[in-house]
Amino acid sequence: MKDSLMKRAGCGVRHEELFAGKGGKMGKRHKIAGTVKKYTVTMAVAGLGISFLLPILILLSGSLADALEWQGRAEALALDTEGYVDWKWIPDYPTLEQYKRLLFYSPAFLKLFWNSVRMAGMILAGQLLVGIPGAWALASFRFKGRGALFTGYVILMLLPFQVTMLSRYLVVRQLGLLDTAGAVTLPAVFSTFPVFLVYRSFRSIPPELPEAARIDGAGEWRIFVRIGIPLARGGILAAMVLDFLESWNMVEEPLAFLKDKSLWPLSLYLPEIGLSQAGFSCAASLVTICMSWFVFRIFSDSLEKGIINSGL
Amino acid sequence: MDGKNIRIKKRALVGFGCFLAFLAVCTLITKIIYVSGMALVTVGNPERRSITHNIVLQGRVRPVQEYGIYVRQGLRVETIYIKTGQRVEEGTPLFQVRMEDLEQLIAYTKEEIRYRQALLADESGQKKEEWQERQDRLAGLWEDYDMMVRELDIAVEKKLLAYEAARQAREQAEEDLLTVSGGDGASLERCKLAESQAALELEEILMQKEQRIREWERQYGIAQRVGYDAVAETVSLEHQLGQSRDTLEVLQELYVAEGVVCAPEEGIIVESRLRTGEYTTDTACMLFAQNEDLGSLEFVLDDVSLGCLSVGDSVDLEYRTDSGEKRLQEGTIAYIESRGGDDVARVNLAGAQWTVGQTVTLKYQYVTDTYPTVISRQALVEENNQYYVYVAEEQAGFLGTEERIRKVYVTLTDSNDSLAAVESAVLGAESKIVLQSNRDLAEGDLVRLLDGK
Amino acid sequence: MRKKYGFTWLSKLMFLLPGILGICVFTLIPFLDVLKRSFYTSLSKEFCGLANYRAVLQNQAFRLAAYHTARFAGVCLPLLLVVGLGLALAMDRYPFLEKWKAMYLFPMAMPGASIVLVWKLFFARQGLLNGFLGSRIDFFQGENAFWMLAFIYIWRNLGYTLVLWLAALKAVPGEVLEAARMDGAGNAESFFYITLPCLKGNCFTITVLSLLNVFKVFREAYLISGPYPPAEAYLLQYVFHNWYANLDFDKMAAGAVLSAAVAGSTVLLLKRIWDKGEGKL
Repeated sequence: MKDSLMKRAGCGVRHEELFAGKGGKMGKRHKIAGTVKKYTVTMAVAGLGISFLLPILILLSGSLADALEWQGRAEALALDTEGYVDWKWIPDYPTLEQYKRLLFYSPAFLKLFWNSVRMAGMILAGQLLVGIPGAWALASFRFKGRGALFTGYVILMLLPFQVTMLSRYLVVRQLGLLDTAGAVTLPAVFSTFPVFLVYRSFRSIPPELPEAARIDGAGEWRIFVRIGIPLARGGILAAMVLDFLESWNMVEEPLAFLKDKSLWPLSLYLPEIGLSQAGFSCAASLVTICMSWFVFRIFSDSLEKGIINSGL
Repeated sequence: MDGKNIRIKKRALVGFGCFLAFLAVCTLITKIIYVSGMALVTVGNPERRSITHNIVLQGRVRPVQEYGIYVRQGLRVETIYIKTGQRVEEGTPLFQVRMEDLEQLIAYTKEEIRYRQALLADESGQKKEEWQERQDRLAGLWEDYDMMVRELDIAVEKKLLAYEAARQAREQAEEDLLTVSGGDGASLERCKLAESQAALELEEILMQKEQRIREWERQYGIAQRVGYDAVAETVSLEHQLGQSRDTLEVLQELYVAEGVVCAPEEGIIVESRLRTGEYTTDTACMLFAQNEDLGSLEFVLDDVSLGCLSVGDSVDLEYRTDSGEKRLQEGTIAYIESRGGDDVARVNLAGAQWTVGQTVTLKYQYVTDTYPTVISRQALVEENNQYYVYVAEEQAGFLGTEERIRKVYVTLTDSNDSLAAVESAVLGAESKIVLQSNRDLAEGDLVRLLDGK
Repeated sequence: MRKKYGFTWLSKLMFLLPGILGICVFTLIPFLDVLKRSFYTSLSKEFCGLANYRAVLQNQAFRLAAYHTARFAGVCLPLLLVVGLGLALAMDRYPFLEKWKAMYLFPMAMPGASIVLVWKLFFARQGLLNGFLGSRIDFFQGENAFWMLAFIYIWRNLGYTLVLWLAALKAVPGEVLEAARMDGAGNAESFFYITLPCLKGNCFTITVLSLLNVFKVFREAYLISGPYPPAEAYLLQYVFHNWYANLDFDKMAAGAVLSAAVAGSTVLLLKRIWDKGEGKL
């Protein structure tokens, strides 16, 4: 019974239709009550949604204020006096100076930006090459110990970084990768997170299709490339987006493995800017977020579909 | 529905591409701006080495005794007739000064004389009056004196007589008392009292006399002194006037000789400190000696050579013979003395080729001990009597290893034209010291190294 | 026939091999090394059995951190799930609200390091939140720090949770609900007796992922408060971090194994329930 309930194929009738009938039956009073309810709910959801974007607005507003205005705010924060930080959503003296400084006079920021881009790119490419086939194997091959292997994957995924930090450091050092980009990208390439995500997508493919292809004599690789990947495209994209966000934002690994500051990713640059340069920090944060936002924007619907399809 | 999605996606992708391209352009521009702010420098390491000082000094063969020829200062030399080392006879023309200058100077001196005379006359007139006043005052004081003394003497006489009388009375009273007849203690007392009273009065009057005489003397002294200041001034004015007259005489003589200064007697010109077109000074313009007896070779030392040369050092002496050849001979430093603010080294003369007045060049190479930190001279910068160098230090940061400039203050121990030995707690054998830079540097600048070693 | 079997077997292996190799090198071997270390002292390298485990379990900081991490998970996770479910229900009921989904998803895309400044500004005593409320609460100390982290956690993960719940809700078949309505069941009843049980399977998946995200809160917490936060916000990773800094590798190893054991057993438990609903994997 539960199996049939949980089947994805052919989603059922929408709930709304069930309730809509009620309105007609009960008449006007219910209709008004229903409309009121609708508006309150809309207000709540929309309001909460907009408030969630508050940080972005704060960053935007902050990046347009110049150093002098921020100095006043920083002093207010430091001195802990009565009253509140004089926050103006539109700064008294708006300026593009922070952006000018960021884009033309911060070689460190731009260098780290490309570092991050390179690192994220390498990690994604590596994960595509290594993780996706692995997920396919776990999903569609039948072999002994598959369940145990998968469980192992999941447990390893849940371990926070601090747990294996030291040992990983020793391994990396042994391999001579310390203080190179490889120290961060290689462990990330072999992360089990994307395997976990894509696994579910692959699971949703009906097993008859690859079976049929196998009978027709197609090789495993061809099955994977021709059937597996296209059908699970949503899930793969979703996994890629989540992976990108992970790589773009990683902080602990580079901090622990990279002593050479010129190899750092962008996510480590922002904490180094103190409150005294808050305006500059806002502008830098916005540019950093821009990158994530673009990726997000391009793949957001795939992300949703992928999440839904993989039942994650 | 899907088509719209794809269009949105495509636009988003294009936007993303533009974003990345924009950032790439910004990166390029940032790099350009950053690099253009960097100076290009060449660096060198300090060395452990010694510094060679090449001492070159000019000196002159001096006679045993020399005299100076002096002229009035301010005359412009037109021609010089003799050379150093030349033998002259009495009356040989030595040099000629410009007549125009001479005339000017004569006129000026005449003016000066006139002025001084006038001053003197003025002074004299005034002074005469003052003098007369003084004499009158003094005479008056004498008269006062006579009168005063006479008065006082009379008063003293009176008191003296009174005292005598009182004394006699007392003596009489005493006698009376001794004799049995009429006389009593009371009258003796009275007499005694009278005597002492008289004595007191006498003393008083004597003191008064003394005081008044002293007071008179004081006043006399003051009156006397007034005159002396005036006298001193006049004397000095008269002296100045005399000097001007002497100068005029000399100048006029020179004028008569058409500006030619001649040798006062036979001898050799040792040194000429004159140069054509320049003015004479108040020091000797020429030095000459009476005979050819050689004295010694003298060289005036500066700080550097003073530090390098010491008594007993063997030096090279270079000189030109009469035929114009250059010759080299070794000499030894006999002694070094301090003379009138200069440090002078003397070399004893040996050999027969020297003539008085001959110019000789001293050459000596002095190699110091090994200094621990020797850098190129061009790296040293001076500011307000303090020396410093710029050092490039490695710094690791977000942009990799960069070179940053640091200012290091040093103490200069020794230097020659190309090297400098310095002392600094900070500089080591590995320090990169900036030798040359294509623009001005400041502390904290980032630079690029030109590998020019 | 044999050959073909052998060939496919090898090619199948090739799918998995690189991944497993890498995982072995970078995750498994470190973990085994950690396991080994947990039985030795860090300085003298002697075998000391379970002494490290005992030390860890008796360690004040560890107990504090474990308690608070568990508390955090115990409080915030359900909160997140409930709020997410509520929103999902609302969006399910009024489909036109779905376009607001993007706004909720957005916080997930923002890098933690970029947001720290905003949080500092927002939660300061003279900050924006206090200014809005007219209060002077110090969010960086005490109980308030806990709620600050909770707020950050929910803010970041609500969108993700929302999407998952929405998908789960959509999968609840309508026929059953319609049938229930016909039978006269009310809104609440049909929710509790039909919708909820259907969601159970998904619920566990969502829980696991949200649990994973609980650990991710550490990053922002560290960036905001530094290595010594107030007690109520003392998460497990702080302990590890400080052990690492003090070179207490033995305790770290024991703590790591313990955490892994707890995580592992939780996952196994969930899997068992999950598998029950799924049938064979």
